[in-house]
Amino acid sequence: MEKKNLLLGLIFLYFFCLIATIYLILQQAGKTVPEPALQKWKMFPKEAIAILRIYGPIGLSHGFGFPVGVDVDRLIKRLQDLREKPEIKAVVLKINSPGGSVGSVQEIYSEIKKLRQKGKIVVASLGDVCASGGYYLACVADKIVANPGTLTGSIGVILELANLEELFKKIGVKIETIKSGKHKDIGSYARTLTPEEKEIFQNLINDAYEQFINSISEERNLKRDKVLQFADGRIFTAQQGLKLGLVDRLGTTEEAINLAAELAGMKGKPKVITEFEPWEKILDLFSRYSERKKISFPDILREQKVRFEYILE
Amino acid sequence: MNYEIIYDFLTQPKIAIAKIKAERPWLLPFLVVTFAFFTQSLSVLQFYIKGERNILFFLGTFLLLRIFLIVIILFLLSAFFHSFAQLLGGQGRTEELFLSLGFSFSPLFFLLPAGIFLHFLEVTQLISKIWLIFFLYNFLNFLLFFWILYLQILSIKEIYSLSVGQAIWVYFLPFFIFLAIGLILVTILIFSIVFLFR
Repeated sequence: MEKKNLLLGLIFLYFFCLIATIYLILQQAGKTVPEPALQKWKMFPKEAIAILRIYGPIGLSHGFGFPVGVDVDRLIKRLQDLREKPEIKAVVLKINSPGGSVGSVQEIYSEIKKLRQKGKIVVASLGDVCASGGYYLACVADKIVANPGTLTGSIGVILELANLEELFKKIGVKIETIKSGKHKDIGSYARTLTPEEKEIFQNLINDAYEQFINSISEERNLKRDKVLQFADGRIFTAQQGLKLGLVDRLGTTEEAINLAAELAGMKGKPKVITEFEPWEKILDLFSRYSERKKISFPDILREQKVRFEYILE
Repeated sequence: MNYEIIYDFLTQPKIAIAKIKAERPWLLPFLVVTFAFFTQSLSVLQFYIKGERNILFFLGTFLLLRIFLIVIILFLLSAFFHSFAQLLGGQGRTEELFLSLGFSFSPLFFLLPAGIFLHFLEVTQLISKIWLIFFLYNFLNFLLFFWILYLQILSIKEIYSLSVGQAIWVYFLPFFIFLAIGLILVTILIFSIVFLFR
Protein backbone atom coordinates (compact mmCIF):
# COMPACT_ATOMS: atom_id res chain seq x y z
CA MET A 1 0.00 0.00 0.00
CA GLU A 2 2.84 2.33 0.95
CA LYS A 3 4.50 1.69 -2.40
CA LYS A 4 1.28 2.46 -4.26
CA ASN A 5 0.96 5.81 -2.49
CA LEU A 6 4.54 6.63 -3.34
CA LEU A 7 3.87 5.71 -6.96
CA LEU A 8 0.76 7.90 -7.08
CA GLY A 9 2.78 10.75 -5.60
CA LEU A 10 5.43 10.31 -8.26
CA ILE A 11 2.84 10.26 -11.05
CA PHE A 12 1.29 13.42 -9.62
CA LEU A 13 4.74 15.03 -9.41
CA TYR A 14 5.47 14.05 -13.01
CA PHE A 15 2.28 15.65 -14.33
CA PHE A 16 2.90 18.74 -12.23
CA CYS A 17 6.38 19.02 -13.78
CA LEU A 18 4.87 18.43 -17.22
CA ILE A 19 2.44 21.33 -16.85
CA ALA A 20 5.14 23.56 -15.38
CA THR A 21 7.53 22.78 -18.26
CA ILE A 22 4.86 23.47 -20.89
CA TYR A 23 4.14 26.79 -19.17
CA LEU A 24 7.85 27.68 -19.14
CA ILE A 25 8.19 26.81 -22.83
CA LEU A 26 5.18 28.90 -23.83
CA GLN A 27 6.53 31.75 -21.73
CA GLN A 28 9.90 31.53 -23.51
CA ALA A 29 8.25 31.26 -26.92
CA GLY A 30 6.28 34.43 -26.31
CA LYS A 31 9.43 36.49 -25.92
CA THR A 32 10.00 38.40 -29.13
CA VAL A 33 13.60 39.22 -28.32
CA PRO A 34 15.50 36.34 -26.73
CA GLU A 35 17.94 37.06 -23.97
CA PRO A 36 21.33 37.99 -25.43
CA ALA A 37 23.15 35.39 -23.36
CA LEU A 38 21.18 32.68 -25.11
CA GLN A 39 21.94 33.90 -28.61
CA LYS A 40 24.88 31.59 -29.11
CA TRP A 41 22.75 28.59 -28.17
CA LYS A 42 20.07 29.37 -30.66
CA MET A 43 19.73 27.57 -33.94
CA PHE A 44 19.51 30.82 -35.90
CA PRO A 45 21.44 34.01 -35.25
CA LYS A 46 19.69 37.27 -34.52
CA GLU A 47 21.67 39.19 -37.10
CA ALA A 48 23.44 37.80 -40.11
CA ILE A 49 24.87 38.64 -43.50
CA ALA A 50 23.94 36.43 -46.43
CA ILE A 51 26.36 35.79 -49.27
CA LEU A 52 24.77 35.24 -52.64
CA ARG A 53 26.89 34.00 -55.52
CA ILE A 54 26.14 35.07 -59.07
CA TYR A 55 28.66 33.11 -61.10
CA GLY A 56 28.71 32.66 -64.85
CA PRO A 57 26.46 33.78 -67.69
CA ILE A 58 23.02 34.82 -66.49
CA GLY A 59 20.00 33.04 -67.86
CA LEU A 60 21.94 30.65 -70.03
CA SER A 61 22.71 27.94 -67.56
CA HIS A 62 21.14 25.22 -69.64
CA GLY A 63 22.33 26.49 -73.00
CA PHE A 64 25.13 25.56 -75.34
CA GLY A 65 28.68 26.49 -74.48
CA PHE A 66 28.10 27.41 -70.83
CA PRO A 67 28.68 24.46 -68.55
CA VAL A 68 28.28 26.68 -65.49
CA GLY A 69 25.86 29.54 -65.19
CA VAL A 70 23.36 31.32 -63.02
CA ASP A 71 20.16 29.45 -62.35
CA VAL A 72 17.89 32.48 -62.53
CA ASP A 73 14.85 30.85 -60.94
CA ARG A 74 16.85 29.57 -57.98
CA LEU A 75 18.58 32.91 -57.53
CA ILE A 76 15.28 34.81 -57.56
CA LYS A 77 13.78 32.37 -55.08
CA ARG A 78 16.81 32.88 -52.84
CA LEU A 79 16.49 36.67 -53.04
CA GLN A 80 12.81 36.43 -52.15
CA ASP A 81 13.60 34.17 -49.19
CA LEU A 82 16.27 36.56 -47.94
CA ARG A 83 13.85 39.45 -48.22
CA GLU A 84 11.49 37.76 -45.77
CA LYS A 85 14.14 36.79 -43.22
CA PRO A 86 14.30 39.40 -40.44
CA GLU A 87 17.67 38.14 -39.19
CA ILE A 88 19.31 38.96 -42.53
CA LYS A 89 20.50 42.52 -42.19
CA ALA A 90 22.72 42.65 -45.26
CA VAL A 91 23.41 40.71 -48.41
CA VAL A 92 26.77 40.50 -50.16
CA LEU A 93 26.43 39.70 -53.84
CA LYS A 94 29.54 37.90 -55.05
CA ILE A 95 29.40 38.57 -58.76
CA ASN A 96 31.64 36.84 -61.25
CA SER A 97 29.70 37.15 -64.47
CA PRO A 98 30.16 38.56 -67.98
CA GLY A 99 26.43 39.29 -68.12
CA GLY A 100 23.53 37.53 -69.72
CA SER A 101 20.16 37.79 -71.34
CA VAL A 102 18.33 41.09 -70.86
CA GLY A 103 15.12 39.70 -69.36
CA SER A 104 16.87 37.52 -66.79
CA VAL A 105 19.26 40.29 -65.75
CA GLN A 106 16.40 42.75 -65.30
CA GLU A 107 14.38 40.24 -63.29
CA ILE A 108 17.25 39.71 -60.87
CA TYR A 109 17.91 43.46 -60.79
CA SER A 110 14.32 44.06 -59.79
CA GLU A 111 14.51 41.47 -56.98
CA ILE A 112 17.71 43.03 -55.60
CA LYS A 113 15.99 46.39 -55.65
CA LYS A 114 13.07 44.98 -53.66
CA LEU A 115 15.59 43.60 -51.16
CA ARG A 116 16.93 47.12 -50.64
CA GLN A 117 13.44 48.55 -50.38
CA LYS A 118 12.84 46.07 -47.55
CA GLY A 119 15.68 47.77 -45.68
CA LYS A 120 18.45 45.27 -46.30
CA ILE A 121 21.90 46.53 -47.11
CA VAL A 122 23.27 45.16 -50.38
CA VAL A 123 26.99 45.22 -51.16
CA ALA A 124 28.38 43.86 -54.42
CA SER A 125 31.75 42.13 -54.31
CA LEU A 126 33.14 41.74 -57.80
CA GLY A 127 35.28 38.75 -58.76
CA ASP A 128 37.37 38.20 -61.90
CA VAL A 129 34.80 39.68 -64.25
CA CYS A 130 31.70 41.70 -63.58
CA ALA A 131 30.78 43.22 -66.87
CA SER A 132 27.72 44.21 -68.84
CA GLY A 133 24.69 42.45 -67.30
CA GLY A 134 26.88 41.47 -64.33
CA TYR A 135 27.52 45.16 -63.72
CA TYR A 136 23.82 45.91 -64.28
CA LEU A 137 23.19 43.78 -61.17
CA ALA A 138 26.11 45.28 -59.22
CA CYS A 139 24.99 48.86 -59.80
CA VAL A 140 21.79 48.35 -57.81
CA ALA A 141 23.84 47.59 -54.66
CA ASP A 142 24.40 50.20 -51.96
CA LYS A 143 28.14 49.87 -52.46
CA ILE A 144 30.41 48.13 -54.95
CA VAL A 145 33.70 46.61 -53.80
CA ALA A 146 36.09 45.13 -56.36
CA ASN A 147 39.63 43.82 -56.63
CA PRO A 148 41.89 46.28 -58.47
CA GLY A 149 42.23 43.93 -61.43
CA THR A 150 38.56 42.97 -61.72
CA LEU A 151 37.27 43.47 -65.26
CA THR A 152 34.16 45.57 -65.34
CA GLY A 153 32.27 47.91 -67.67
CA SER A 154 31.27 46.62 -71.11
CA ILE A 155 28.11 48.63 -70.72
CA GLY A 156 25.93 47.97 -73.72
CA VAL A 157 23.65 45.56 -75.47
CA ILE A 158 24.49 43.02 -78.10
CA LEU A 159 22.23 41.20 -80.48
CA GLU A 160 23.76 38.66 -82.82
CA LEU A 161 22.02 36.81 -85.58
CA ALA A 162 23.48 34.01 -87.63
CA ASN A 163 23.12 34.40 -91.40
CA LEU A 164 23.52 31.06 -93.13
CA GLU A 165 22.07 32.14 -96.48
CA GLU A 166 25.31 31.63 -98.42
CA LEU A 167 25.94 28.27 -96.76
CA PHE A 168 22.46 27.05 -97.61
CA LYS A 169 22.96 28.14 -101.22
CA LYS A 170 26.19 26.13 -101.42
CA ILE A 171 24.65 22.96 -100.06
CA GLY A 172 21.38 23.36 -101.96
CA VAL A 173 19.06 23.96 -99.06
CA LYS A 174 16.16 26.35 -99.43
CA ILE A 175 14.00 27.34 -96.48
CA GLU A 176 10.40 28.08 -97.38
CA THR A 177 8.72 30.44 -94.94
CA ILE A 178 5.00 31.04 -94.66
CA LYS A 179 4.21 33.93 -92.33
CA SER A 180 1.29 35.89 -90.99
CA GLY A 181 3.06 39.25 -91.17
CA LYS A 182 6.05 40.65 -92.99
CA HIS A 183 8.25 40.74 -89.91
CA LYS A 184 7.24 37.39 -88.47
CA ASP A 185 10.51 35.78 -89.59
CA ILE A 186 12.64 38.71 -88.55
CA GLY A 187 16.12 37.48 -87.67
CA SER A 188 15.79 34.30 -89.68
CA TYR A 189 19.14 32.58 -90.23
CA ALA A 190 18.06 31.65 -93.74
CA ARG A 191 18.32 35.13 -95.26
CA THR A 192 20.01 38.52 -94.99
CA LEU A 193 18.30 41.25 -92.97
CA THR A 194 16.48 43.96 -94.88
CA PRO A 195 17.36 47.63 -94.06
CA GLU A 196 13.95 47.97 -92.38
CA GLU A 197 14.60 44.94 -90.19
CA LYS A 198 18.04 46.26 -89.30
CA GLU A 199 16.39 49.44 -88.13
CA ILE A 200 13.88 47.52 -86.00
CA PHE A 201 16.71 45.63 -84.34
CA GLN A 202 18.73 48.80 -83.86
CA ASN A 203 15.76 50.45 -82.15
CA LEU A 204 15.42 47.39 -79.93
CA ILE A 205 19.08 47.60 -78.98
CA ASN A 206 18.85 51.34 -78.39
CA ASP A 207 15.88 50.92 -76.09
CA ALA A 208 17.55 48.23 -73.98
CA TYR A 209 20.72 50.34 -73.94
CA GLU A 210 18.74 53.35 -72.71
CA GLN A 211 17.31 51.23 -69.89
CA PHE A 212 20.83 50.15 -68.94
CA ILE A 213 22.16 53.73 -68.98
CA ASN A 214 19.22 55.02 -66.97
CA SER A 215 19.67 52.32 -64.35
CA ILE A 216 23.37 53.09 -63.92
CA SER A 217 22.76 56.81 -63.83
CA GLU A 218 20.00 56.43 -61.25
CA GLU A 219 21.61 53.80 -59.01
CA ARG A 220 25.15 55.18 -59.11
CA ASN A 221 24.12 58.83 -58.88
CA LEU A 222 26.02 59.63 -62.04
CA LYS A 223 24.98 62.16 -64.63
CA ARG A 224 23.63 60.57 -67.77
CA ASP A 225 26.14 62.43 -69.94
CA LYS A 226 29.00 61.12 -67.85
CA VAL A 227 27.75 57.55 -68.14
CA LEU A 228 27.42 57.91 -71.91
CA GLN A 229 31.09 58.89 -72.11
CA PHE A 230 32.27 55.45 -71.11
CA ALA A 231 29.20 53.31 -71.87
CA ASP A 232 30.35 52.35 -75.35
CA GLY A 233 31.04 48.70 -74.57
CA ARG A 234 34.63 49.14 -73.46
CA ILE A 235 35.93 47.30 -70.45
CA PHE A 236 37.85 48.69 -67.47
CA THR A 237 39.81 47.39 -64.56
CA ALA A 238 38.16 48.15 -61.22
CA GLN A 239 40.98 50.62 -60.55
CA GLN A 240 39.96 52.56 -63.65
CA GLY A 241 36.30 52.04 -62.73
CA LEU A 242 36.91 53.63 -59.33
CA LYS A 243 37.92 56.89 -61.00
CA LEU A 244 34.85 56.79 -63.22
CA GLY A 245 32.49 56.10 -60.35
CA LEU A 246 31.65 52.57 -61.41
CA VAL A 247 33.17 51.14 -58.22
CA ASP A 248 33.10 52.53 -54.67
CA ARG A 249 36.02 50.78 -53.07
CA LEU A 250 38.89 48.45 -53.95
CA GLY A 251 39.00 45.38 -51.76
CA THR A 252 38.30 41.71 -51.24
CA THR A 253 35.08 39.87 -50.42
CA GLU A 254 36.01 39.95 -46.74
CA GLU A 255 36.21 43.72 -46.92
CA ALA A 256 32.83 43.75 -48.68
CA ILE A 257 31.37 41.69 -45.81
CA ASN A 258 32.83 44.06 -43.23
CA LEU A 259 31.49 47.05 -45.16
CA ALA A 260 28.04 45.44 -45.29
CA ALA A 261 28.15 44.83 -41.53
CA GLU A 262 29.20 48.41 -40.94
CA LEU A 263 26.43 49.82 -43.15
CA ALA A 264 23.88 47.55 -41.47
CA GLY A 265 25.03 48.73 -38.05
CA MET A 266 26.08 45.27 -36.94
CA LYS A 267 28.49 45.06 -34.04
CA GLY A 268 31.29 42.53 -33.63
CA LYS A 269 32.21 39.80 -36.08
CA PRO A 270 29.24 39.34 -38.39
CA LYS A 271 27.63 35.91 -38.73
CA VAL A 272 27.85 34.97 -42.39
CA ILE A 273 25.40 32.61 -44.08
CA THR A 274 26.27 31.23 -47.50
CA GLU A 275 23.40 30.82 -49.85
CA PHE A 276 23.82 27.12 -50.55
CA GLU A 277 22.33 24.46 -48.36
CA PRO A 278 24.34 21.20 -48.33
CA TRP A 279 21.73 19.32 -50.34
CA GLU A 280 21.71 22.07 -52.96
CA LYS A 281 25.45 21.65 -53.36
CA ILE A 282 24.95 17.97 -54.15
CA LEU A 283 22.14 18.76 -56.61
CA ASP A 284 24.33 21.42 -58.18
CA LEU A 285 27.06 18.82 -58.70
CA PHE A 286 24.66 16.52 -60.52
CA SER A 287 23.14 19.28 -62.64
CA ARG A 288 26.59 20.36 -63.74
CA TYR A 289 27.40 16.82 -64.74
CA SER A 290 24.19 16.52 -66.74
CA GLU A 291 25.04 19.68 -68.67
CA ARG A 292 28.12 18.06 -70.21
CA LYS A 293 26.13 16.81 -73.13
CA LYS A 294 26.82 17.16 -76.82
CA ILE A 295 24.44 19.44 -78.69
CA SER A 296 23.31 18.74 -82.23
CA PHE A 297 23.67 21.16 -85.15
CA PRO A 298 19.94 22.09 -85.18
CA ASP A 299 20.24 22.92 -81.49
CA ILE A 300 23.19 25.16 -82.23
CA LEU A 301 21.14 26.98 -84.85
CA ARG A 302 18.26 27.34 -82.44
CA GLU A 303 20.58 28.65 -79.77
CA GLN A 304 22.25 31.05 -82.16
CA LYS A 305 19.06 32.36 -83.74
CA VAL A 306 18.70 35.38 -81.50
CA ARG A 307 21.03 36.65 -78.84
CA PHE A 308 19.76 39.71 -77.09
CA GLU A 309 22.06 40.22 -74.20
CA TYR A 310 23.88 42.50 -71.84
CA ILE A 311 27.07 40.49 -72.14
CA LEU A 312 30.83 40.88 -72.42
CA GLU A 313 32.04 39.08 -75.54
CA MET B 1 -2.40 -1.81 -15.34
CA ASN B 2 0.41 -2.52 -12.94
CA TYR B 3 2.14 0.86 -12.83
CA GLU B 4 4.46 -0.43 -10.14
CA ILE B 5 6.58 -2.07 -12.83
CA ILE B 6 7.79 1.40 -13.90
CA TYR B 7 8.82 2.20 -10.35
CA ASP B 8 10.40 -1.23 -9.92
CA PHE B 9 12.25 -0.87 -13.22
CA LEU B 10 14.03 2.16 -11.80
CA THR B 11 14.62 0.86 -8.29
CA GLN B 12 14.79 -2.94 -8.62
CA PRO B 13 15.18 -3.69 -12.33
CA LYS B 14 15.75 -7.42 -11.86
CA ILE B 15 12.44 -7.83 -10.03
CA ALA B 16 10.68 -5.66 -12.63
CA ILE B 17 12.03 -7.80 -15.48
CA ALA B 18 10.77 -10.92 -13.68
CA LYS B 19 7.32 -9.26 -13.43
CA ILE B 20 7.44 -8.40 -17.17
CA LYS B 21 8.22 -12.05 -17.94
CA ALA B 22 5.28 -13.16 -15.83
CA GLU B 23 2.66 -10.51 -16.70
CA ARG B 24 3.68 -9.30 -20.18
CA PRO B 25 2.05 -5.84 -19.86
CA TRP B 26 1.66 -4.77 -23.50
CA LEU B 27 0.20 -1.30 -23.07
CA LEU B 28 2.48 0.03 -20.36
CA PRO B 29 5.77 0.02 -22.32
CA PHE B 30 4.09 1.99 -25.13
CA LEU B 31 2.95 4.55 -22.59
CA VAL B 32 6.46 4.68 -21.13
CA VAL B 33 8.03 5.23 -24.58
CA THR B 34 5.44 7.87 -25.51
CA PHE B 35 5.73 9.83 -22.29
CA ALA B 36 9.50 9.38 -22.05
CA PHE B 37 10.08 10.87 -25.50
CA PHE B 38 7.43 13.50 -24.96
CA THR B 39 9.34 14.44 -21.81
CA GLN B 40 12.62 14.51 -23.67
CA SER B 41 11.19 16.67 -26.48
CA LEU B 42 9.76 19.15 -24.00
CA SER B 43 13.05 19.24 -22.18
CA VAL B 44 14.99 19.90 -25.40
CA LEU B 45 12.51 22.63 -26.34
CA GLN B 46 12.87 24.22 -22.94
CA PHE B 47 16.63 24.49 -23.34
CA TYR B 48 17.36 24.96 -26.99
CA ILE B 49 14.50 26.68 -28.76
CA LYS B 50 14.01 29.71 -26.61
CA GLY B 51 12.34 32.56 -28.44
CA GLU B 52 11.22 30.39 -31.33
CA ARG B 53 7.53 30.46 -32.14
CA ASN B 54 7.01 27.27 -34.08
CA ILE B 55 7.00 25.14 -30.97
CA LEU B 56 3.82 23.24 -31.72
CA PHE B 57 5.15 22.43 -35.14
CA PHE B 58 8.44 21.16 -33.72
CA LEU B 59 6.76 19.26 -30.96
CA GLY B 60 4.01 17.74 -33.06
CA THR B 61 6.12 16.70 -36.03
CA PHE B 62 9.20 15.44 -34.30
CA LEU B 63 7.49 13.81 -31.39
CA LEU B 64 5.14 11.66 -33.46
CA LEU B 65 7.94 10.81 -35.85
CA ARG B 66 10.34 9.94 -33.05
CA ILE B 67 7.90 7.75 -31.15
CA PHE B 68 6.99 5.92 -34.34
CA LEU B 69 10.67 5.43 -35.23
CA ILE B 70 11.62 4.36 -31.72
CA VAL B 71 8.94 1.66 -31.69
CA ILE B 72 10.10 0.40 -35.09
CA ILE B 73 13.76 0.48 -34.02
CA LEU B 74 12.96 -1.31 -30.76
CA PHE B 75 11.09 -3.92 -32.72
CA LEU B 76 14.04 -4.48 -35.06
CA LEU B 77 16.60 -4.36 -32.27
CA SER B 78 14.63 -6.92 -30.26
CA ALA B 79 14.74 -9.25 -33.25
CA PHE B 80 18.49 -8.72 -33.65
CA PHE B 81 19.20 -9.11 -29.94
CA HIS B 82 17.07 -12.26 -29.86
CA SER B 83 18.98 -13.82 -32.74
CA PHE B 84 22.40 -13.02 -31.28
CA ALA B 85 21.37 -14.09 -27.77
CA GLN B 86 20.21 -17.43 -29.12
CA LEU B 87 23.47 -17.83 -31.02
CA LEU B 88 25.27 -17.43 -27.70
CA GLY B 89 23.06 -20.09 -26.12
CA GLY B 90 20.55 -17.78 -24.39
CA GLN B 91 16.93 -18.84 -23.98
CA GLY B 92 14.15 -16.27 -23.85
CA ARG B 93 11.27 -14.67 -25.72
CA THR B 94 11.50 -11.71 -28.13
CA GLU B 95 8.29 -10.07 -26.91
CA GLU B 96 9.57 -10.04 -23.32
CA LEU B 97 12.72 -8.29 -24.49
CA PHE B 98 10.70 -5.85 -26.60
CA LEU B 99 8.55 -4.91 -23.60
CA SER B 100 11.55 -4.67 -21.30
CA LEU B 101 13.39 -2.39 -23.76
CA GLY B 102 10.30 -0.15 -23.80
CA PHE B 103 10.45 0.18 -20.01
CA SER B 104 14.17 0.93 -20.16
CA PHE B 105 13.42 4.53 -21.27
CA SER B 106 11.80 5.30 -17.90
CA PRO B 107 14.84 7.29 -16.64
CA LEU B 108 13.97 9.98 -19.21
CA PHE B 109 11.12 11.02 -16.88
CA PHE B 110 13.72 12.64 -14.65
CA LEU B 111 14.44 15.24 -17.32
CA LEU B 112 11.32 17.22 -16.42
CA PRO B 113 11.99 17.87 -12.71
CA ALA B 114 15.67 18.35 -13.52
CA GLY B 115 14.81 20.90 -16.20
CA ILE B 116 12.59 22.84 -13.82
CA PHE B 117 15.31 22.72 -11.17
CA LEU B 118 17.89 24.07 -13.64
CA HIS B 119 15.46 26.78 -14.72
CA PHE B 120 15.04 27.71 -11.07
CA LEU B 121 18.83 27.93 -10.69
CA GLU B 122 19.00 30.16 -13.76
CA VAL B 123 16.15 32.48 -12.79
CA THR B 124 17.30 32.91 -9.20
CA GLN B 125 20.87 33.51 -10.42
CA LEU B 126 22.15 30.74 -8.15
CA ILE B 127 24.09 29.79 -11.24
CA SER B 128 24.79 32.91 -13.24
CA LYS B 129 26.85 31.30 -15.99
CA ILE B 130 24.53 30.16 -18.72
CA TRP B 131 27.09 27.71 -20.10
CA LEU B 132 27.12 25.94 -16.73
CA ILE B 133 23.35 25.43 -16.92
CA PHE B 134 23.73 23.89 -20.35
CA PHE B 135 26.66 21.80 -19.18
CA LEU B 136 24.63 20.43 -16.26
CA TYR B 137 21.69 19.71 -18.55
CA ASN B 138 23.89 17.83 -21.02
CA PHE B 139 25.71 16.04 -18.21
CA LEU B 140 22.35 14.85 -16.88
CA ASN B 141 21.44 13.60 -20.35
CA PHE B 142 24.77 11.79 -20.45
CA LEU B 143 24.08 10.07 -17.10
CA LEU B 144 20.57 9.09 -18.19
CA PHE B 145 21.98 7.65 -21.40
CA PHE B 146 24.22 5.31 -19.40
CA TRP B 147 21.36 4.41 -17.08
CA ILE B 148 19.20 3.44 -20.08
CA LEU B 149 22.14 1.53 -21.55
CA TYR B 150 22.55 -0.37 -18.27
CA LEU B 151 18.82 -1.21 -18.12
CA GLN B 152 18.81 -2.48 -21.70
CA ILE B 153 21.87 -4.69 -21.22
CA LEU B 154 20.38 -5.95 -17.97
CA SER B 155 17.15 -6.79 -19.82
CA ILE B 156 19.07 -8.95 -22.30
CA LYS B 157 21.01 -10.59 -19.48
CA GLU B 158 17.95 -11.40 -17.39
CA ILE B 159 15.59 -12.44 -20.17
CA TYR B 160 18.09 -14.73 -21.91
CA SER B 161 19.97 -15.82 -18.76
CA LEU B 162 23.31 -14.73 -20.18
CA SER B 163 26.46 -13.58 -18.44
CA VAL B 164 27.24 -9.83 -18.28
CA GLY B 165 29.95 -10.20 -20.96
CA GLN B 166 27.61 -12.09 -23.29
CA ALA B 167 24.81 -9.55 -22.78
CA ILE B 168 27.19 -6.67 -23.62
CA TRP B 169 28.36 -8.56 -26.69
CA VAL B 170 24.76 -9.20 -27.81
CA TYR B 171 23.89 -5.54 -27.24
CA PHE B 172 26.73 -4.05 -29.26
CA LEU B 173 26.99 -6.60 -32.05
CA PRO B 174 24.08 -5.15 -34.13
CA PHE B 175 25.64 -1.69 -33.90
CA PHE B 176 29.00 -3.03 -35.09
CA ILE B 177 27.27 -4.79 -37.97
CA PHE B 178 25.32 -1.63 -38.92
CA LEU B 179 28.54 0.35 -38.70
CA ALA B 180 30.35 -2.12 -40.95
CA ILE B 181 27.49 -2.14 -43.49
CA GLY B 182 27.37 1.66 -43.35
CA LEU B 183 31.10 1.92 -43.99
CA ILE B 184 30.86 -0.48 -46.93
CA LEU B 185 27.95 1.49 -48.43
CA VAL B 186 29.75 4.82 -47.95
CA THR B 187 32.88 3.37 -49.59
CA ILE B 188 30.81 2.12 -52.54
CA LEU B 189 29.09 5.51 -52.80
CA ILE B 190 32.41 7.39 -52.75
CA PHE B 191 33.89 5.11 -55.41
CA SER B 192 30.73 5.45 -57.52
CA ILE B 193 30.85 9.25 -57.35
CA VAL B 194 34.58 9.28 -58.16
CA PHE B 195 33.94 6.93 -61.08
CA LEU B 196 31.00 9.02 -62.29
CA PHE B 197 32.81 12.35 -62.22
CA ARG B 198 36.35 11.42 -63.16
